[in-house]
Amino acid sequence: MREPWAMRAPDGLGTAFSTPPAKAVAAGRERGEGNRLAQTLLAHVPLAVAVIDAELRLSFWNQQAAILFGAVSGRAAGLPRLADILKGIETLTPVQRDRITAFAASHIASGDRTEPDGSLRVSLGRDRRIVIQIRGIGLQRWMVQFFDGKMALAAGLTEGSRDNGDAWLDALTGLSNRRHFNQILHRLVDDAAADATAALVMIDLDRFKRVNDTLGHPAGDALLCLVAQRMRREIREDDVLVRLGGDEFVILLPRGERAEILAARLVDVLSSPFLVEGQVVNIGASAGVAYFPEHGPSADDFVRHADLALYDAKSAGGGTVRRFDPAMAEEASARRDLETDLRKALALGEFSLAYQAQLNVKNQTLTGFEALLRWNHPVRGIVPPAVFIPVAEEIGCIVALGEWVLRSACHEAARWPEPLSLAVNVSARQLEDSERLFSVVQAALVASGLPAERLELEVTESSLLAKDTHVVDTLHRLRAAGIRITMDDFGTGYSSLSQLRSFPFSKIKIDRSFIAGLGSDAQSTAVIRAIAAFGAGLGMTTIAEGVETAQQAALVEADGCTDIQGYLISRPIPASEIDALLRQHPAGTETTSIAG
Amino acid sequence: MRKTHVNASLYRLIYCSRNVIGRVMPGATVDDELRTILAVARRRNKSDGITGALLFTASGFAQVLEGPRETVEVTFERITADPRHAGVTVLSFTPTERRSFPDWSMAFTAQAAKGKPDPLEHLLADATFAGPRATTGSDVLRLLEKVVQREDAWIAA
Repeated sequence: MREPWAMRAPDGLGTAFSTPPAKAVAAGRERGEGNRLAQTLLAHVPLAVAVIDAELRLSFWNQQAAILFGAVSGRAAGLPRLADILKGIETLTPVQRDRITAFAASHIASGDRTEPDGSLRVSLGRDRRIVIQIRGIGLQRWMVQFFDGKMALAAGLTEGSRDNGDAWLDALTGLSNRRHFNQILHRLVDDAAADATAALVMIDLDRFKRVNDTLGHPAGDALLCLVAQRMRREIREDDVLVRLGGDEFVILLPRGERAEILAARLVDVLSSPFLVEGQVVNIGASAGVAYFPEHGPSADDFVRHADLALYDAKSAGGGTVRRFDPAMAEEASARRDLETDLRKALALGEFSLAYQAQLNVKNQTLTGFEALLRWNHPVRGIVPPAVFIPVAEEIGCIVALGEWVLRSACHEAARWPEPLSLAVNVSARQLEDSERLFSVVQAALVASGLPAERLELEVTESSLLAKDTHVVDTLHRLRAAGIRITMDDFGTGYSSLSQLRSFPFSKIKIDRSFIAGLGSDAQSTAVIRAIAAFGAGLGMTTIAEGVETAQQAALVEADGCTDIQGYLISRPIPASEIDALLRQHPAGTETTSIAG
Repeated sequence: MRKTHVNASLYRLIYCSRNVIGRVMPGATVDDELRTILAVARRRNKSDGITGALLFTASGFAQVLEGPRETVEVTFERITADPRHAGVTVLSFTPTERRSFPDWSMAFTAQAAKGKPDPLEHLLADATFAGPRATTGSDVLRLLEKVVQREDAWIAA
């Protein structure tokens, strides 16, 4: 258990009695809680406070003092000297520094009896002034207070409007904020000694959003305070702990050797449960680590590389630490290029649609086509949907893309013989904006003249996992307008048969992985049978996708599937080849006579 | 009615964790560390209005803490920071009408006797691999109640 006197100042930059005098240790042990309370209070007063000994060395300072002094990096071992610390205040002249140290020395020598109120006024530049006071606190220690007009302003103590942009502390957690971080980071990078090895540990909480969503923002805020408290316990006196915003934190380690050990420890302590307002909350954390100057040399690169390492840790599923690797930068830049190309592709007309036929196995008649998006880039060539769709989802252009698909495909399908239907994939992002999706679908139907009954929208299971009932409401609205809804890729991800009851789907599409497994693993057969039986019970069509051989077709039919889609019937073909295909296969459904 | 209101903020926390004293403190003897844990916990918990019981076995710790909600929350934060254990899993944290351990500022039961089955072993494995189940919390509570009744509280020297 940590001894009370070893408690760090709650900010992380200040050190707290790093080498405690024997008497202070005894006193601290007796008043552990009081000491901690005092530390917390000191962290929140809008005053820079430092404790010095008779030799003018600092044994303690609070966060405000740390801000005033700037990053105290690369100093010699032992307690820092006041004269050296003052060099951190950029606008202070050597003469002013001498005045301050002389003031402190003479006050101590005088036995706490100095002129009027024991204070010294020092002007810092044009309109900034600090007032310095010193008084004995016993045990051969003196407290030095630096009253900084700028800090008081940030704390709202002075007249006039409060300027939050001027604050250096995160209002919620009391940690340093982004602004302070930028300042000390730049100072560290600018003044770094040749042999400096600093590090950044970027931390992002896993599953934090869910806490805010389910328990509310006050609980989320309380959790962030506990998170800050746990992280403070793990850092050393020189480290700067910063809340960048939201659930993003960063630790700047002026001496970076143990950055990865610290990062792993933080991920560990943040994965322990939290008790927040009567609830048990389990979150986690991901961390990215970058070193200076290796991963610098500029402050921007340093931060960007730590960010990339964090992104990598997040992509790996969270709960882990990643050290920056140049391959991450290459990957990120390749991705950025892909994003750039993707954003332009729609305007440049690089997308096209292919249509894949769907067949009713009982009647051997075509029931319709699924519209599939194709991207043919002049340099990249054909980019597989598995590569660009997730990127399009993430950067948001999937919405515009999805709308283009709807309009183009409806236009094409309107000329097909009745009752051939059109299946179009709808992304989770599109489902989120109910109003927009509904009006786009309506507009596409009206413009093309395609009856609503001939349009099917395919949604994936994962898009139904969204926290609220909002998505299901959107689906009901579309269904009420006559549009059919298909559950796509069923059997992958978080499959649950009960999910099929959450909405009256017209059709279940069984994921191709099960069809590929037919004949070789018994599980695939079992899954297909279960889904087909379930679908039949609920009056839903079950379609198997990825059917490539006659044997697979026979098996899925035997297992109870009503429809199939795959290379056995036809590969995805351009619109221009649809007429030829229709001449080979009659179109129709179970209930409608063959048309065309 | 009144009594219910008074006890409205009384909570019971049950957690378990793995014992890593041997790993993180190679020089320390488990007995000495336990004496320290108990001495500190007893003093602190008494002034905080926390009662409960601590079960220690070769595999880990299981603890019941009862008291005002916020005090239990603060105490738990302190406990999670202790390097002598790892894999802290909350088995239950719920409001309660009355304390199960009203008389102990912190009862202690050293169930580390040789030859006896370790009652915490399956529990820790469950909590680690299967996630806390609704039953594990009450299991621990019953286990502790039984052990505390049977054995004398182990007083730190």
